[in-house]
This record gives sequence, structure tokens and C-alpha cells, in this order.
Amino acid sequence: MLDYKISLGYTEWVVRQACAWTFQSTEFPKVSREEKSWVVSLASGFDEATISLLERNLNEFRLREIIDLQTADLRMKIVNHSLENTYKSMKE
Amino acid sequence: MDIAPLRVDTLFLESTRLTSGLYFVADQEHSLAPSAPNINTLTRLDGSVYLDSVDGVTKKIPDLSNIADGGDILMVSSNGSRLRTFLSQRSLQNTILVTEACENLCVFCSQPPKPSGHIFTESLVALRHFSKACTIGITGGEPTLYWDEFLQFCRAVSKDLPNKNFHVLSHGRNLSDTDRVAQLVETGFFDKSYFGIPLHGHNSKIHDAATQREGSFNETVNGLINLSFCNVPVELRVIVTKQNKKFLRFLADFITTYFDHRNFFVAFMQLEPVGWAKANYQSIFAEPESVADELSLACENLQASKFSFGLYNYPQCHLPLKLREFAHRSISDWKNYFPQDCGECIKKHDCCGFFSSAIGTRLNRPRPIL
Amino acid sequence: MKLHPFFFRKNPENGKIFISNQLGGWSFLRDETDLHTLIAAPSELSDLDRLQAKGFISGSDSGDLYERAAESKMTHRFSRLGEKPSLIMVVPTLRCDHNCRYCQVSRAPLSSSAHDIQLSPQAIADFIAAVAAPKFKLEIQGGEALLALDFIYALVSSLNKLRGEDFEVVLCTALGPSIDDRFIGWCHEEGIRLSVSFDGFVDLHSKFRIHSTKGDSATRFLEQKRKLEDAGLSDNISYVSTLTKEALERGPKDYIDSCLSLGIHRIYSRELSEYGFASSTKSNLGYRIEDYIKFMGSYLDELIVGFNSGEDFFDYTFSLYLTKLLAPDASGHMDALSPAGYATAGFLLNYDGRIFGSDEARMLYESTKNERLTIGKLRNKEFELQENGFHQRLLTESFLETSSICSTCAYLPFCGLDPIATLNQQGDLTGFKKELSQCQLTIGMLDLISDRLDSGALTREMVKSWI
Repeated sequence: MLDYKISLGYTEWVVRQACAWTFQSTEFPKVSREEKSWVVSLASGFDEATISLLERNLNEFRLREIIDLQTADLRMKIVNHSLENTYKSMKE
Repeated sequence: MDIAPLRVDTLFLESTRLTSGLYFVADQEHSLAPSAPNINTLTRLDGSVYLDSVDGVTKKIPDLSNIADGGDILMVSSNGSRLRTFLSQRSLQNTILVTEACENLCVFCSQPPKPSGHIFTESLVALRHFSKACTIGITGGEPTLYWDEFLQFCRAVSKDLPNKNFHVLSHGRNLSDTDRVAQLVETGFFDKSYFGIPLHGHNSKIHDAATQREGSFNETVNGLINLSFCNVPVELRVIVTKQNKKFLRFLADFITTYFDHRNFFVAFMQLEPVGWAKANYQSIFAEPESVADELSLACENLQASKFSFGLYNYPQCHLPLKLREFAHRSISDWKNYFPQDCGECIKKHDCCGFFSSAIGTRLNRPRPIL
Repeated sequence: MKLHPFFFRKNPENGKIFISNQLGGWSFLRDETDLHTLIAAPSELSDLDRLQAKGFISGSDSGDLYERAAESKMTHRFSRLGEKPSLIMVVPTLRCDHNCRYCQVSRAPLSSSAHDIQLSPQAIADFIAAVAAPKFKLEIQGGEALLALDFIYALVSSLNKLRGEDFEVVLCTALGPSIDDRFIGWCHEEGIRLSVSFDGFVDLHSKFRIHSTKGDSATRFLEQKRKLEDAGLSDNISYVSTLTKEALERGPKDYIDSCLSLGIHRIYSRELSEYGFASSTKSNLGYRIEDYIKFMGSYLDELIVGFNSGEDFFDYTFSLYLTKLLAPDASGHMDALSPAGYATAGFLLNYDGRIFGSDEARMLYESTKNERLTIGKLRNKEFELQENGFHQRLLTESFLETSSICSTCAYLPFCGLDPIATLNQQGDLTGFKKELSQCQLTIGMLDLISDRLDSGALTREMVKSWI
């Protein structure tokens, strides 16, 4: 098939991240949002292995999204503070 | 008969009394430092006759040559009857107890806390007159309890006493304040000195149970994080007990995960039966054999993550073969000995010996290696 | 129980879930069920002590310990940018007496007159002494280092006067040119390390490393190796091997046996480069990263078997990845740091006076002549800095924590990517990092190592002797 449909239950972030880790940049699908689903289109079509991988990645990124809901703020706070601290100390 | 510890360090004065305070033992090679505040001196005239500089009078007191050398600093108690060594030229491990007060109540505390002031001022004066280039232990109680005085002390010794460095034993809780740590680092004290800080477990459940103070784990770990960040050298002391012996590998993992390997040294320590450790011995002492496997695991975890570590107060014969190389000769010269059973043991010169305080029922008998 | 930020990856080696965090702590969960439990109800897991100790969870009363510790570690790592360079590479000549089919440095022919350094050793020594870290490594690259010995003797001599005992010297060589007594004496006196190219198999070495004048390269290599060993320099030599498709096909057991038969007990095996001539010959000589990882897995298993039976052979490549997992803050290779060591932890002074931020930048320059890669030019009396924002941009992009594709990767806390690679492989400064060969390699190697550590196949004894 040339189009693969993904439930709108998944957010855009999840869909795009899952695609990023499933496909090569040389053969990257078009991702669009339609009324009833996300549509991922690839000229050369999808084989079973790719679909299987995509579905696995969708699930994994859904989990990562849940983890981020609880912890992303802290994770980024740490990164940002560290960058600020470094910048400050290098100015001296 | 078992061999007695190295030196007597306290003398009782019977007939003669001395004015309380610090005393300098003067002789031909040693005199007071001119730039420092004066303290009393005792100059030996003949045998047990000394010239006391306080009133310029000669006094007959026990001959000090067995307990004090020229250049030593002695302290006379408030009622004038007791004379003890404060700083000794001969000792390899001079230690100053700066206060008896402490916020923690560790079940194995070797110096149980009592309400007390501090002696930073007197200590600084004594150190100014003490010529020896050496490492001095600063203990208590909790040396950082009187923070301003501690900071001032660090500043003064860094500036004026370059031939000395210090090993400060502390629970580290007061270092959870980043401003305080910054002030401390600024003094330059830690260019040559280091903190000895105990961590009893990888969580508050174990650690706070040992210190008997809720919140002590959090503050101590925050203190350690601050010290790690500022590259202050730290000797992380793990006192091995029945309560934490099964979790040593987790503690090792906690240490490698939360702190930096470059300035931390981990010391696993066997209990010394003094103070509360003596009173609670049966309920907290962990037989070395029961600890060996977990201790090995912990050491391997540390080693893999490039942390330096050592075993303190573990006689060679109480350790499995693979751990023996990590044992340090850690028991101070004034409180260790080798029981008669050690006999002709070939590992004596590598061994830390036994605590003289353990003589009697608490001595875990040696098994000489022949 | 409080859950800290963490990353996860299903490890294809064992099907378990690898978890990691910003403290560099890591562990395995049995399966997806445990992963869900960790996210939804961590206190229900059975392994609470381990998860606590490794920084995944903490008691609700623990305040901000995780945050402060993570910030401390990360700030330390980022602050490496403010340190002086500790790896100084100098390329005194691009001429080389070998003609290796996968040469990454675009070497120049032996007869060339335009590829030798024109600067005076003293001028270079002065420059290095002024900018280098308190302790540093001087690495002589090429071309062939042994073709520029007079220059090297003079450079080391001048540096000795300026920086004394502060530095160690490494010469990268294929051992082609003649070695005389003066050289041998000098190596002994200065404690020179020789980083020698040898591909493990004598016949493959002959086939791919073609000597331009002295006949068979393998014969020459063995002859020179013997000479150095007879002169008591065995301990000064480390071997660097480039694995080609043929080596992979022969398998690790043959590889190890071949090295041992030549008395080689330590080697550092690397994959084919993406730079220079290598990128064009890749289709013939090369392989997919998956094949390389498969070989590495079997190789590691062979090394483990060997270790257990008392064999003394080791590959430094495993030590590098082991250190990444076990001591992520211990410094690693210049091309595998985050932020990158480019232009900060090290730099390269080329024979033409150009200064590059890394060996890879130099290699890319040689094949593209793109001036943006140059940081500056050293002339005998002065250093001219080339300010164009390019290098800052490279460094900014090298903070993997800020890359959206890397930010969800479980190996982020242990990874670092060569910043020039995106430019070389993808023609872009930001790039699509997951498609870099180094990314795939890092993932594959860490999958292997974490599995073998978790299963206990890699024992503590091995770890002790290998890192």
C-alpha cells in the first residue's frame, strides 16, 4: 500500500518521532493530518517489516510522551541550567 | 600480656597545680612563634623540675619527657589538675576536637555529643606555635556547627600556616548551603585539605536510621553534591554495620551515580568500639566474614567506575584474599596494637592492627597469616 | 516514590528494556510490563534499591537531590569547553610511502614538493606551549610521520625546553621508512609512543596497504616491527587496525589468532573511515554497520572465551565503549564527546600552516578544500584567526541534549558525535544524526556491551583488566 493510516489518538509529536526512527531520510514519507486519521504516504509503498517497525515505534513514543508529561520539565530545566552555568563561567 | 598503646597522653598533677590553658614545651630547638599571641611555656630545667613562664616560678611536676617533646603543645584543664597532649611533634596523627556539639546522634558515635562551645580560637593559637609540617585532623562533635568561626579558622590557616593541611571530619549537612561552600572554597582551604564525610546508605531510610535524625540524608547528600561540583576533595566514609551491610553494593552504585570520581575517595570502615558504638556493639557490629561478599561487590562497582577506595580498620586476617590489597593502615598510632595472638604473622607490616579499645570481649580474635 | 526523567530502549541483543538517565545511571528492566510499572507506579517494582541507587527513583522526601546532582554533572561536562586543549595534532607532511586503498587523509605522493611543513619547529613549539593544557599529548600524524623525522626531533626538543615533562608524544606510522639507531635512541630517551597501522592479517595488509617503493608492505611491516622489538621498544608500540569487509568475513577467531601469531596482544580496531579516499572505495571494501556490529558481537564473545582460558589478548575499542557506560565522565576520544572536543579539547596544525579543529576537519578539507573548515593560519611570527561563526555553530550543534532526534535516545548520556561527520556525510551542520555511521555504531556497540555486562558474560575481572 502507498498510504498508511494512523489513529488520531496519537499526537503529532509521536507520529513524527516514530516516522523519524522508522524511515531513512532518503525515503521519507509525507505525513499529513486528515479528518479521521494521520496519513503517512510513501511512493514506494510499505512492506510488512516497515509497518511492524512503525507500529512499534508509535507505541514506544507514546510511552515516551507519557514519561515526558511527568518529567520533561525537570529534564529540560537541568539542561538549560547547565548551559547557563557553563556560559556564565566561560565569560569569566 | 597484650601490648599497651603507644603513649600516655594525659598526666594528673598531684601536688602542684598549673594555670589552665595552653602550654608550649620549650627547649633549645623549640620556642614560641614571635608573630603569634603568647601562650604559657614550660621549660625543663632538671628532671621533673620545670620553669613555668606564667609566674616565672619553677615547679615540680612529673617528668614530661615520656609524654611530650620540645615543640609540643599541652593543655591544662580548668581546675589545673590535668595536663594532656594537645599537639605532638612525634605523633603521625594530630587531631583537634574543636567542639563536642553535633546535630546528629549516630548510633555508633565515638564521641557522643553534648552541648558545648568551641575552641577554634585556642586551636589557631596552638597551631601558630606548632612548627611541624603535617596533616591535622579537625573533629568533634561537628566542626562546621559554629560556621562563622569554622570559616574564619579555614581562612586563617590557609593564609598563615602553609606548612599544614587538614582533614575535617564532618556530617556535611551544613554544606548543603551553596553560599557556604562558595565561601569555603574561596579561602583556598581545600587546595590542600579535605573533608571526611560519612554516608551510611543509599537512601534516607538507612542513613537517617543511623544518624537518628530525619532529613540528615538529604542535607548530607546535598552537601556532597556541592563539594563534588566545586572539586573539593572528599573522603566518603562508610561505616559498615549490621544495618547497612546488605546494601553496600547499592551504596557504591549511588556514589558512582550521584558524585564525581575525580575528587572522591570512598573508605569502608570497620567499627571502633568507643562511645555509643561500644554501648550498641552487639546490635550494630557486623562480623567481617558476613560482610566480605557484599563488600567485594561494592568495591568492584566503585573500581569499574574509576572511583578510588580503601578499607579502613580491617586487619588483614579479617579480609578475603582479594580485598587485602585495599586495606589501609588506618588506626591512629595512639589507639592501635597487635594482640599476642598475632605472633609471627607475616602480614603485620601491611596491617592496621586492632583497636586498643577492643581489648577484652569485643576483640575479634586475629588469625595470624604464616 | 518519585520518578526521575529517564530514557529507554529495547535492546535487540537480549530483548530487555535498557533504561538510563542524566546522571549516567543505567539498568535493565525485564520487559515492557516493568517499564509500564516504572512509569505508572514505581513503588510496585521489586528492584527498588537498585533503581534508587542508579538514580531512577527517590523517596518523596528526597527533595531535589536528583536535579542538583544531574545539573552538577552536566555543568562539569559542558564546562570542558572552557579548558585548554590537551590533544595537539601536528601534520608535518602529507607525503606517504604507502598507497592504502582506504586512506582517509588523502595522502600526497612521496615525490611531492608541496606537502611538507614550512614553519620552523621553534615557532610551532612556542605556539603549542602557549595554548596547550597543563598536561597534553602531541600526536604526529600525516602522511607518514617517519618521513619528517628531522622536523619532529627539533619540535620535541624545542617543546622539551618550554614544557619539560608536561607532555607525551605519539607518532602515527605505517613503519615504511628506514629506522636508524638515532631514532631508536630517541624513542627510548623521550618515551615515544608509536601508533602503528596494522590490519591484523598479513595478507590483507599486503593487499590493501600498498607500499610505493619497498615491495610488499606486510613484509616491510614485519621486518620493521622486529627491528623495534629487538631494540627493546615493544612496550612503546600500539597497533591500530582498520577492518575491511574481508576481515569481517574471516571472522574474529582468525583475526585474534593472526594477531597472536605475530606476538600482538593489544590492538585498537576501527571501522572504515568515511573520509578521504575511504569514502569512494567504500562500496568495494565496505560493509553495512549491521554487519560490523555482528562481527563485533562475535569478536567480544571470542575475547571473553579467550580471557576465561587465560589468553592475553585485548581490543581497545571495547575499552572505549565500556568506559562510556561505566564511567561516562572520564574523558573519551576526541571525536566522541558531547559537547564535541572540536577546537576545544584538541586541534590540528597542518603542514600548510592551517589550523583545524579536529583531524576529521583536516581530512574533509583535504578532499573538499572548503576554507570554512579552517580556524586560522599559523605563520612563523603570528597566528591569524579566521572568524566566521562556523566553528561556534559546529560546537553548538554538538550538544546532543539540544538535538531533537537525540533527546529521546537511551544512549544520549553516553554518546558524543564527530561534529564534522554531519557535514561530510549529510552536507549539513545540524544533520539527521541518527543516520550517521557513528550513531549506528554507538548504538550497536552499547547494545552489545550493556547486554554482556548485564548477563555477567563480561565479568568484573575482565572489566578490571580492560578499562
